[in-house]
Amino acid sequence: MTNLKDKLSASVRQAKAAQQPTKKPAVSKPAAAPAAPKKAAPRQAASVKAAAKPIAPKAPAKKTAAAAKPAAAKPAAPKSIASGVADSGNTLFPDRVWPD
Amino acid sequence: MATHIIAVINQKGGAGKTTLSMNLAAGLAKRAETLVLDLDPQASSRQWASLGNAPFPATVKQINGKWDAKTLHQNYKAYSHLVLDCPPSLESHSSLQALRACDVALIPVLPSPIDLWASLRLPAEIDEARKTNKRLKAFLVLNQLEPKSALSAAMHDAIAEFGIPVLDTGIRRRAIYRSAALEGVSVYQLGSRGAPAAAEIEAIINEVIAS
Repeated sequence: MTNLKDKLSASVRQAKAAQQPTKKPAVSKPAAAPAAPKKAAPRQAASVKAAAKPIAPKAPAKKTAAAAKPAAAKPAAPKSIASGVADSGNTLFPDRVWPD
Repeated sequence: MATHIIAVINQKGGAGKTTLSMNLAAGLAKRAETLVLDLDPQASSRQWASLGNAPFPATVKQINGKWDAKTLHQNYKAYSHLVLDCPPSLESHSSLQALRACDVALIPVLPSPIDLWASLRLPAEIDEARKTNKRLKAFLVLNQLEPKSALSAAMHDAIAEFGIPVLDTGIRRRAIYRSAALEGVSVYQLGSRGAPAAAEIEAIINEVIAS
């Protein structure tokens, strides 16, 4: 019984503590709000435009693929680290195939 | 005499706000003109009152649009008691206004850890409301207590963590409360079947009036 009481009280204290950190930023937000909105608004607009661009030319499928390429090109950078070793994974007829 | 306003509030759904509001209003209606304002979009109070063969002892209405304490005192001055059945949300206009307008906030809480965790934001909201409503008194009401349950017994200690006083009278888990809703009446109107429940509500009213 005492164990249950302690457990219940502890769980309430824990839930209370968990709520407090999430509450603080909510209070501080309105105070920071007057300075933030001017900067935030253009950013939002820009992000909306940026988001709209790739969606707009959706009709020609090739263009979207081309638009996606630059984004895909970035992860390819690590390839150069593995210098000299050809990536045969996606090649139809690779020069060299690693043994199993 | 100014209208005495009681808000029955908890952000957690299913805590017993409507059950307490309706039976409380029925008990208060025995003393003076009483109105229940159904602030919950689910409109359970109005549904409840509409089911009875005879008119519900207290008037049940809804309030539309934006309102504040002044609106309540102006529009409902014919009533001695106003019971606000709040929606299960603290973000809504009506919940915030209810806390700013009421004399007493009653917070029904079920004897379950989940309900306790879900109600933890209330003390802060009550403190906030007290900045504009200096006379606000708040009480927790333990609802659906099961005397033989260890969890129900453990509630009294755990609930102290809220920092809000608890009414001495708790509401026991009784099927008669649900039957009353189904019949569109209060427990007062159910004779001997409803007598133990009516006694609980009476005790709550007496505690609230004495506070």
